[in-house]
Amino acid sequence: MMKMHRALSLPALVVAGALCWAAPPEARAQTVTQSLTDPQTGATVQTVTSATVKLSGTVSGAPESVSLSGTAKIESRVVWSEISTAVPAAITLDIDLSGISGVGKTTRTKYVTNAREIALRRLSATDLVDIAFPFYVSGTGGFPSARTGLARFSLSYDVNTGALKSVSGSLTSP
Amino acid sequence: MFLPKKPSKLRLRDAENARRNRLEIVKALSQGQVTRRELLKWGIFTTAGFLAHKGGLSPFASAFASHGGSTSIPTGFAPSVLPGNVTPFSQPMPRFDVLPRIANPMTAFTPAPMAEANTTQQLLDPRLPGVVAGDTGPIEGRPPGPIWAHQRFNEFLPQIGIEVTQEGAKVNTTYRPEVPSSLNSGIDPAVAIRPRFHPNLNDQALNTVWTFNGTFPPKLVQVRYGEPILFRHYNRLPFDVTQNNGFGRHTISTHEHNGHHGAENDGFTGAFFFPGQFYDYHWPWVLAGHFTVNTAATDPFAATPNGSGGTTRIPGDWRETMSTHWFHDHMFSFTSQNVYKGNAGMLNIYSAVDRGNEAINDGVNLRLPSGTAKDWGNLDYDVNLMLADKAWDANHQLVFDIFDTNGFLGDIVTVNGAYKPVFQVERRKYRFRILNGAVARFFKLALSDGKSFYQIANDGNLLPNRVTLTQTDFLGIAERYDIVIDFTNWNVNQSVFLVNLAEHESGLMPERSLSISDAQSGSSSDPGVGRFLEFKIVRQPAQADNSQVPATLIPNPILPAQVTRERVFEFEDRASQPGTDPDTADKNGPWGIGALGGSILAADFGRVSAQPGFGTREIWTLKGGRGWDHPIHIHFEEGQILGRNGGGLSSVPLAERGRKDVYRLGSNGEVKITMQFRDWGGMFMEHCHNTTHEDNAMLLRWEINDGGTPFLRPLPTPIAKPQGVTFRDPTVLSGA
Repeated sequence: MMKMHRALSLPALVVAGALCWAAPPEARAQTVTQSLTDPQTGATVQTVTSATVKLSGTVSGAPESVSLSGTAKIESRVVWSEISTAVPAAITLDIDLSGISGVGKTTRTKYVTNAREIALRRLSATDLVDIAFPFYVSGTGGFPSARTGLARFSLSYDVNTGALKSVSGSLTSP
Repeated sequence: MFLPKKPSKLRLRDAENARRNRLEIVKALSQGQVTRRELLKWGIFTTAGFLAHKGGLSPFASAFASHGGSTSIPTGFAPSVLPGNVTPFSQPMPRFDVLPRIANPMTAFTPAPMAEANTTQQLLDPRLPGVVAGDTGPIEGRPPGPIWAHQRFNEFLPQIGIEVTQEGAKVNTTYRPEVPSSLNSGIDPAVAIRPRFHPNLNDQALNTVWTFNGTFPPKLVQVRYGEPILFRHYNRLPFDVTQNNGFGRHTISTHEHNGHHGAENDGFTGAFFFPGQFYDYHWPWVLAGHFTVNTAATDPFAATPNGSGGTTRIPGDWRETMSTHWFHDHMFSFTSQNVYKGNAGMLNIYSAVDRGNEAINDGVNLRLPSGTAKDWGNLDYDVNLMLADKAWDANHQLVFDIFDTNGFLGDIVTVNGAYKPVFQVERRKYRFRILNGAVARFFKLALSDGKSFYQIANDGNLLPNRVTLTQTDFLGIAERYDIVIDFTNWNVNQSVFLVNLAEHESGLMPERSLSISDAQSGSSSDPGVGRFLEFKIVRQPAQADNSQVPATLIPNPILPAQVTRERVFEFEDRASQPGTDPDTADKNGPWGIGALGGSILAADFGRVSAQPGFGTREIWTLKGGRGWDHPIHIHFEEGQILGRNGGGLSSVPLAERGRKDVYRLGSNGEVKITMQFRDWGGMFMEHCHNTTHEDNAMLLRWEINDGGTPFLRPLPTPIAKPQGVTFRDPTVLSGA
């Protein structure tokens, strides 16, 4: 039955996995998973995991290498397959990198980003996601020029629920 | 042959679709609409009289891999045939073909445009459906009488006319790119352009493609605010409905997407016209709020180029200024086929703010990349890109699977009707107005080396703020992203490619997004992924780059505090159809829309599902179902996204924080938007712009309710026949 869009009452919201510390120590991520259930059928209609992950790394290249660090906010949402045997469930990742900033190794210039990426991935036990993102001298908004960094995330999921179990990441040159 | 003991829901749905399709075929056969010979010719029946083992037709064939291969793309067919001498990036990309602007159509056009439809009778061709020799019908297909008269016609008398035909493929001998050859990759406009996707492919047959004026490349209309347009569209398609080479319907209705015009000019799905007729569309080009905001026309930002370097102030809210539209067919149940066949063009709107001249520095003009030679509308560095995936057979003739209701996917990505072309650029900034003109394919765009670019507009509306990106969000069907690429980031003789990161397995929704490197690795099973357009930097700029990309563009309109009503619309499958009128109700499904908390209903353009009050503001929540993503288009009014998936504005990406007219819901997602209903009235539509979903009943009619004047409430439904349009009383959902 496809009618899954009944109003969801607050009691139907279940915090399924309260807090996980599953990532490697160098990039430990807190994940909080919430499952929304249909109060009439009890079926899970949405599983959302929020995570914050510390990232750092160096982007090399002209005019100078930049040491970047900060926190990425990740929200993963399960894309439920209507037909589980033919269309695998997927994950939508909303990755907010606006907490990343950096310093030029030569000039000590401050670099920032307001990048936010929406990625759609197949659900699997583990996934590696590369996100190219722009960063730029603070105050310029990226104009007239911005540089490109690469955020690399290693994610693991509970393939039964779609919940994000752990995430770690790093920053590097594309 | 049997279905498995425990078939998947998808398989069952495919089988059910196939059953319905077969019933339709039987019906068409019984009514003489098609012959068994034609079905044999189309490959639908085998010579032994059995249904072909074909997805969407045979219940035993999966629509997901209907030609027996490992990939389901293209939908329902074997991979398109590419001869060895048709290689990627081996042909120039043609700029759009600009339609001539004819001054004073009130006297220049014959017959002269009229407020009400021109009902002068003509002898009808008996090959038209339901016509017998001696029958007559009106020369204009617009519904007759005062209800469908152009609203405020005398107040906005057309100043510019555009005449265009819809017809079968022919050679273009009048190509008008409106830029010199040096800015059109060396294409000589004096050399005829043949109707084909690559110079080494065969021409398209007469009735395989039906384009504007019958020619390639796609057409561009240039308009400016304050200058009313009369767009006269002649239907020169075959009188015989069967002469379509397997897909497409010869009746058409032209939607100016997303014009703020009266509903009689909106391309209502039931207000279609027949071969031998024309339809006059009247586009006044007023800023939204024309009758209520800045009515004395004192705001210098609410203005339009005057042709001599200055501006003329106009009424309305300048924050409603629009920039990039397109126009396409909206024929009930046949939009996907007709648009795929070539019924799609683009339309640039110019204003004092977005004037198409990068040099004029008056404190209002944003000076976006364009050019300087003309007062407005320079196209030198302002480039339209229409993306569309296609599929063709061994003879290079376009093919389309009319039976798959998930959405047709082609395996060939074209830009402006050209297979993987090259666009030569100067080393400077360019604006690209990118339209997703596909049937069901989503795109997600990046440059091949990951360098950044700027998104300045979404769905034809300049954003409040410039957004710096290395990859776009998903670009749903009918969405438009305007981006600026600064080619000074590369050297002369270097190339950079536009890359699609969105991978499909079916037409339901993208399967996943890939990284820039993965998308170019060739590892994807989707042939639509990867590089599809080469930018080749060929020289330093011929003239100084005067253009700017301001951080602040157009702020969002200020909304009235009062929200008159909130509504919820659900977009699902397995719709029911309470409608019984065979002329207005789609009996095929399976898609539908639920309104007012009721059942999911299949499309019936005789049914009114919402009646917002004239002059009011409402909040609409659009909810999608599991396993698919619907890009929902709401006609006439631009909306602002208030939140996604229950969140507030922070849940909305920066590039979606302007005005929009297409809203991607995401699988099991929801989008909350707000709109105002102003200036014009009549019947409009809301539908999925995956046009396969739209054609299979995911469409509803809404109507602006103004309390009865000057428009009737509710409006009678037009029923189009070659002999003339009649009217029937609509049904109205209780509480609409």
